[in-house]
Amino acid sequence: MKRIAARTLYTLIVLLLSSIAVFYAIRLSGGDAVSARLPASASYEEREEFRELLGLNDPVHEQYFRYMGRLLTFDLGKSLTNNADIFDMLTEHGKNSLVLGAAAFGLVFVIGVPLGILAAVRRNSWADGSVMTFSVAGMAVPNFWLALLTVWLFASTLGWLPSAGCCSTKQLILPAVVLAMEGIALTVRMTRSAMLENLGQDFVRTLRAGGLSEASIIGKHVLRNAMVPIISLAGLRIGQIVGYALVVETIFGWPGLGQVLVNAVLRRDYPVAQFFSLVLIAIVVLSNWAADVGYTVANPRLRKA
Amino acid sequence: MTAATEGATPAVEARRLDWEDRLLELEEAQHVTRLQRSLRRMRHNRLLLLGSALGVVVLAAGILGPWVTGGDYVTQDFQDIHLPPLSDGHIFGTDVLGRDMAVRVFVGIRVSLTVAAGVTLLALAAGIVLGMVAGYLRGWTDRAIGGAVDFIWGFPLILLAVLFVGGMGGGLFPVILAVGLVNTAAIARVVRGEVLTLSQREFVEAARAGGYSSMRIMWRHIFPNILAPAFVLASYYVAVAVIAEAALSFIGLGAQPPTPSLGQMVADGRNYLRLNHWESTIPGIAIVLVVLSVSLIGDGLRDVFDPRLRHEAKSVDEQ
Amino acid sequence: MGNSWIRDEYGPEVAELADQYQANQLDRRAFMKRLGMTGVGVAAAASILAACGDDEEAAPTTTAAPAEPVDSDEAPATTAAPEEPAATGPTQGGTLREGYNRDVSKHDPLTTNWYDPAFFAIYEAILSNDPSGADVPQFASGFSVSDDGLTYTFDIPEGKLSHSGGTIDAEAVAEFYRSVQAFSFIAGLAAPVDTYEADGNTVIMKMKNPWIGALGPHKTGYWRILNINTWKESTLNADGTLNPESSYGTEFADGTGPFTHEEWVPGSHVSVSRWADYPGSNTPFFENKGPAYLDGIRWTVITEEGQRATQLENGDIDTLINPAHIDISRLENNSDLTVIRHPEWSGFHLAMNRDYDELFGDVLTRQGLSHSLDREGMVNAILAGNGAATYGPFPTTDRQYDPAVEQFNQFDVDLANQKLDEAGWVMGDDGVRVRDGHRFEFRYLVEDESVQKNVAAAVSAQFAKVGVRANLNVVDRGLAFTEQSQPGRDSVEMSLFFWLWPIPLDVLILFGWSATIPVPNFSHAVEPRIDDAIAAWQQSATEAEAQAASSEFQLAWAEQLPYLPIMNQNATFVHHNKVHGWQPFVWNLYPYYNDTWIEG
Repeated sequence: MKRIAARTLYTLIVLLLSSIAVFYAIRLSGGDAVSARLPASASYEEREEFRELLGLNDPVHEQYFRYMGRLLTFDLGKSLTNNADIFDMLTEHGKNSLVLGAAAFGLVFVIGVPLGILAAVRRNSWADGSVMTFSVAGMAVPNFWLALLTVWLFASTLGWLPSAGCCSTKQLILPAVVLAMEGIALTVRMTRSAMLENLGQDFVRTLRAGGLSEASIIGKHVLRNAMVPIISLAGLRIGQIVGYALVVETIFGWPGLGQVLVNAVLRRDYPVAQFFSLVLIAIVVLSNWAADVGYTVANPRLRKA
Repeated sequence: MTAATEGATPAVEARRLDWEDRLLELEEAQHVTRLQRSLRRMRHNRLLLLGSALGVVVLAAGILGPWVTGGDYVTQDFQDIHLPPLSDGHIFGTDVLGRDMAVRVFVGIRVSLTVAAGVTLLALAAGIVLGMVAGYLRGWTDRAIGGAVDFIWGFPLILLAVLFVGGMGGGLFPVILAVGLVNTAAIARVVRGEVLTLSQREFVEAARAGGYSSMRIMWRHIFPNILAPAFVLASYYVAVAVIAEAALSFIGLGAQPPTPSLGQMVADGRNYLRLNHWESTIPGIAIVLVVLSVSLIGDGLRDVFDPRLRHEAKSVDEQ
Repeated sequence: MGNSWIRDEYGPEVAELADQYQANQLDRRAFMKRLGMTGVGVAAAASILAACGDDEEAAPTTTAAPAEPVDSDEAPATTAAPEEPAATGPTQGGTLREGYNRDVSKHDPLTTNWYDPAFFAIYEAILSNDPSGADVPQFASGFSVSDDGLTYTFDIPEGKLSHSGGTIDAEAVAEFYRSVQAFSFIAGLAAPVDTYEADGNTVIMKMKNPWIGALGPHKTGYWRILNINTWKESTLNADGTLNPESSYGTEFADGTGPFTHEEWVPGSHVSVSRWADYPGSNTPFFENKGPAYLDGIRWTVITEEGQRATQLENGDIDTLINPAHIDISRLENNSDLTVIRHPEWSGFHLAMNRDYDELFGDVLTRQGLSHSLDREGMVNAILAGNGAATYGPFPTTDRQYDPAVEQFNQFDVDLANQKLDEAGWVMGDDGVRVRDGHRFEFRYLVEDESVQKNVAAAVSAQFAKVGVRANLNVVDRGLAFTEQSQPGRDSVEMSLFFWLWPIPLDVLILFGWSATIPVPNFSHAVEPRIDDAIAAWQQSATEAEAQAASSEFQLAWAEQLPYLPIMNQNATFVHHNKVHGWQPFVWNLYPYYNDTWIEG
């Protein structure tokens, strides 16, 4: 319990530090928030005036405290580039990201676990060989390239699926699969090795000697044990998906948090970039926290420590 | 993001290793040195052989390729644009400006390997130092370093790279720094864990009891023992660095044009997929080959030098 | 071809020339020369050229239907592709799904940074361009200019409303224009306008001096008419200052066009719905004078270039603005689609920071650099032929385009080397020229965008051939602008900029005028000839004076080179053949949606 409490406190501190780091970093990286807001022909003086109006000329720490003050009263502010309400953006794009992320997360387990079991149970067969080859390929092919190839094949050439856009089920398929691919490949491997480890253990031999059917042994006993590390580390899959979503959403024109964040950073839209970075960092940190807690709970040895 | 620990015939491999382990125990009893043992394993490790073969090809492409082809990746010819592979004088064809794809891919591989090497050196040096300091001194130092490591870990890599590139004005260096920072965090974590375990071993306890200084214990007793796991881990993170560099240059961070980088070539070629897909697929295949070769080598090395790490590395992979 | 208007306007001789030109029997130079012999003026020649195609290869015609000016009394359905089934007439209903290549700006003419196609659905301008390029009334029912050119009168019909039901009478329009003067960051484009006053049912625009260009800005998106009361309520603070966090244009809009603002999601899409109470249009070339046929329009932002054409081919969208250049020929071969293209009001220009006097200070050096550029080659490679080389500041389509600029800046490597030699640049051992101890090497800033990056790589390779080293530095949008808009030597040495605006001279004044250093005169160039031409243009009271000023402006630009002109691209519009009455033409940036309907 103490470990969990410490971990929680620590997570909060990381979030606070992140907010400061992001706030300063995005300002230090140079660039101009005003250029995206005013017509190209606006004069130097008009730009300065507008910066003043938006409070961008104030010292950074003042801006930070003002920002955090507003954040604590749940006033997220507005986009500097187009004045969109950031809370609206969060709900609108967050919903899309959630759909995509959940689909990818689901695919990781729905595809990864059965394939891993198959490979373990049919060890050394062609099935094992092809599953593992797929797994190796899944990890070596960068997802941005996979995205381009799938669009080219399934949308441009075969015309089976839409190439991009949001938010129908058909439009979801390609980005979800691409986003999930690496997670699937990893889960296949983890499942396979966890299953093999358990299959070789004494209790399996005992159960077999006891006359239990192979299906029942695998389904009831081995799988249950093998699933512990996989489920408890599921949180880390979430973190991974969030990171990749930045690229995959952009390629598929899926209007999610990642796409918004990339655009906001590129345009120096400070309030949006700050808040959405924090949201993503929070998701990663919290899912790491969940993984940690899950792992602690699943591992009796650590629980005592 | 691991690569094959178990290759095409994993079960056979596993059995062979089991059998070898037993043999090795026998050998150890006969005072066979570690190095000999490792070399013997190396010869029997198909993964490593396959990876090394592929690695030689990739290295040759990256080093000899530009040299053989003249390395002129800038010259353009507006008359010969979007040529498919095996066109006259251009084995990989040409791109939108009529530049030779072969030269650009070879140089791209070189860029990719250079970045990976830079990232790995940086991550190894910084990761070992931080991990050792944290693991040995413990207390607040440990917590502070651990916090920083976790902090970097949680930061989306792209955001980190954008901020670095913005602050430093583009080019490969900020990318090396951003990816290197993330990999440093990974290595520091594992090194710290190793140091913690080592600190409780008899020989360290004995050294402490003997009144040796911390510096001396760290340098003489702990450092040599963490080198192997750190190198093995680093070899695995080379693949991570290659993919990260490709992903960042795909979104336009990294090598400045006209210097080619593979991710950027994939990105440039995507608009011409329907016209001449090779402009995107050849650099894509090159990335996959580079990643495969370095990760096979990494996995193979891990098996050879530190079979024990196979289990630990597994949980690290999950990060 | 559909050039009957040329016959009507300029007689059979010119029409025949135009036909020969379009059939590729004449090249442009010969065409222009022969046009000159028939006594057609430069402005008219340019507009004929515009209608016929700006160069030999890319005729701006539709593949299946004529995009040339359509007589306003011709039914839109009859202009559609011949293989289409005979349409019975406009059908009500349906939502038009349109793909768009840029991200969407907020729907507030007064404070937006740019205006997108939705502005043509939500708002009406007081006037518009008709397919022949003439000024015609839109929100106004008529207009006139006093003989001294100092007073413009616009008739505002009774019964005009805004979406919220507010009355938009002459006073409301005048007050809106006064607000543009007070709050718009682009108001400077109409600087010679003095005051706007309502007088009964008319709006009186008084000029500080006679100026032929006065109407131009009023036809653009920034001057499109909204209900100024609604805007003030939401966007002005109590003390009369601008509230930068107003939600006008993001959550609601109160316009005057046939569609109402529905939803606006930047990075994703915007949508509008039919305004049932639309009081009707005064625009003569609209077939449909009442409420729109469509129930709504949804624009999807498709920033991935290659995706645009695919989505249209797969039926995910009905119409598309600006597919990737490389995909156009494929779309033109698709019998279900109609491609309309014409030169866009845009250009790629290289800025050279003149505060780096040792590099770009003398005109010989700038001319040497210019002659090293193979513009035609870049158009063919980078734009896939979908554009035209520019040797002066304007696209060739402009009414005032002066072909005389083409005597400058032609691709000639020998001449380039000769000029650089003459300028005192000596070739060094490493292939880089040196003068007075300065190497000809500098940073060349590029925004991270695929066309601009290709142009930059191409330009730098061509500079290298004449001993000039341009080191590319690709940065993101946010940084690029900052680095090119600082005073003095704080701005980067060289950068590429791209402009888009329907009246070239209006906006290029800002980029080349000594009064607008450092922004947007990114070159920090003080060119007395250009300044004088600008002054003359802003004082021009007649077409002839305007043409003279404009020609001088173009020639001064082409010769003195405050920037190196490179090329302009075509604007490309593609519609599925089931979409009717969607007729973009060269003089407006976007199509109007009043006549648009979807079959079946």
